[in-house]
Amino acid sequence: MFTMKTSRKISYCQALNEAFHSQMQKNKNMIIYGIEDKMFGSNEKLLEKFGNKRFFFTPLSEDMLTGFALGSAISGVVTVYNHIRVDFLLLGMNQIANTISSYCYATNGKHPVPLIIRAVIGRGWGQGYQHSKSLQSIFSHIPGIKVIMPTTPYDAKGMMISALNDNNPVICLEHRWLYWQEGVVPKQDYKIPFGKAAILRTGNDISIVCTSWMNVEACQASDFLKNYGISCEVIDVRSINPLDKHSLIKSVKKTRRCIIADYDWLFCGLSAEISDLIYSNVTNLKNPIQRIGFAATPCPTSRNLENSFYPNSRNIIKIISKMLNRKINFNKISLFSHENVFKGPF
Amino acid sequence: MKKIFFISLLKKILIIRNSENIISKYYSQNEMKTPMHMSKGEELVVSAAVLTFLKNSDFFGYYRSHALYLSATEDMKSFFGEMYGKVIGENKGITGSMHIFNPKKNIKLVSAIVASTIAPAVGSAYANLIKKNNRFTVSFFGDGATEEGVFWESMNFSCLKKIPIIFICLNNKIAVDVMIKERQSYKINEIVKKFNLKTYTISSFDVLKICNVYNDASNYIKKHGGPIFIEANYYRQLQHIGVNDDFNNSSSNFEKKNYRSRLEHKFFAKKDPYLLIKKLVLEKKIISLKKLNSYEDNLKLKLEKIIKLVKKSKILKNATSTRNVYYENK
Repeated sequence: MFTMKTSRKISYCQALNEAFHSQMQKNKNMIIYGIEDKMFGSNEKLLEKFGNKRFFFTPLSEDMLTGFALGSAISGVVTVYNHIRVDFLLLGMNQIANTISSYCYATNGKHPVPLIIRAVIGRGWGQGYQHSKSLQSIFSHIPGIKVIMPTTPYDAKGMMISALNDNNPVICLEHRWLYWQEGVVPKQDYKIPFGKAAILRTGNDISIVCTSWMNVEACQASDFLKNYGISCEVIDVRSINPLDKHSLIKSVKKTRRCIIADYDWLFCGLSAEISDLIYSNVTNLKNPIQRIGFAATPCPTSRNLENSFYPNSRNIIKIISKMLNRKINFNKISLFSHENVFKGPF
Repeated sequence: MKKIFFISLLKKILIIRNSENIISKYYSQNEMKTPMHMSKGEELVVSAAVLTFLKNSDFFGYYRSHALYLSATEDMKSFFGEMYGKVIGENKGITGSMHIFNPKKNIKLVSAIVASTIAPAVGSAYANLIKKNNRFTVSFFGDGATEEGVFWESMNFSCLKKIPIIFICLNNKIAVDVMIKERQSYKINEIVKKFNLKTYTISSFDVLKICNVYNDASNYIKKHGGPIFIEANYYRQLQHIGVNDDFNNSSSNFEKKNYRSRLEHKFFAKKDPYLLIKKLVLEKKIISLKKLNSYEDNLKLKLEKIIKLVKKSKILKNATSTRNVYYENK
């Protein structure tokens, strides 16, 4: 955990917004664009302060605007491209996989590519199968791209400032339910280096390795399981590529049990990658590794079906109960509900 | 046009043509293990653009990259180093023929995916606006690229934002082995005009017109900004890929058989830009035949020496090194 002098609490959105304001102020050669002006508030007042040359709205044209980002970045302008849904980013996949990812390598590591693609991911409000994906495994599969998924407001600001100064293509995947979460965030600028996981809860009985929203579910499960004398270690991967292999191995070596709760599909996914990492490095596991992720279907719209598509803290507790062979009444845990925070339409 | 312009243009075209002749000569030795998309036929339209715009602009190209690279750099050693996959190559053997580029030498990106450098060219041009450096960008692509959605997206956005970019569509009317009439329902220059931007049409058979149009485009963009669209027609003398012409199918199983007209090929052989530029400089008495021949003979000797040197030079030792995949901040 981090030691912070400040106790100022702001939202994830405000934390990102602070990062953009401070970096746009510092660097005149920085632009931000996308079709969505607000990005849930994280772009607040950027247009008013920096003008429509540096902060602008665009045609839809995702393919072109992804290539545009590369051209602008390699010409010395820090470029941020916003997507209100990661599903739309797929229209720019040619540029990501074919030109952006290979640029630095082709120049033998000599040419920086200061490019950030932000994309909103995950569950919303009946978004269905084209407004709900995460896709971190797909992006992380491609050498040359960095992928981050900040969970806390503190990380959102620190990792975004790192991304804006990294000089490499960074895809930042932001879960929409996290935007309203509040946390302690220092007013001044700070960086959180990539390739470092964060321990959100310390524990000895089991390691729960999580990405994005699954951290919220895992922390809730962890707090609930304290009543049963079970201590969970919740590890927020937060930097998918590069991956902090060391911290993950270290935690599981201590607990000798591991659940990987990745906010994505399981098959060929990040959870399989981490699972291989743990199996290759921890030889005295007490139980086989368990993986939690989306159901193996496209995401349905109807609320009941949606509830069973996305895993939650109850799923985590159920698995832990089996692994530890303990009877736990997991129905007692109240699940996070988005119903009162957001009621659509998008 | 000043004499020096034509001398420089001649030099570039001689370098490109003779370099490609050397590729043809040695390609069968199977030491240049990279798919060659030869520039033979496009030398003039590319070189004249590079010569006109080089001072104020950056270039984005496509996989038929030899003419662009050699006219922008005239660096035959780095070129052949790359073709042979050696450390002395422009990209140390990472890119080969289809992606050879160097942003420090004004060639910002070359790509083997059709149309994929058009959008980066627009972004680079926009960066110039942000940096207020009065530079502009030149984007080369083929006629097939206009069939990709990203081309139209790029036209729309650059016209919308008045981005300082010159699009040069190198129209050879063939994509691999499919003729334009089988692919396009439009005439590119007519439809592009609807975007309300400055357009020109040139063909590689009129040296003076090419030079005048590029010169005019250069003045126009400096005065009025962009974008500009130039349709530059030329005849692709060889196969889509490989060092032979399309009438020697014995060595290629890539293109369809007999898909091009022999008559047309003979007709355009007489309008070969390599011959046209030579004819022009001799007729205008810019250079004597003796001097021209002696220059070209020396160039051939120089190229043979480069080949010997490149063949002897080293290859990158650890190809799996992940060191350069990401930029390391100092």
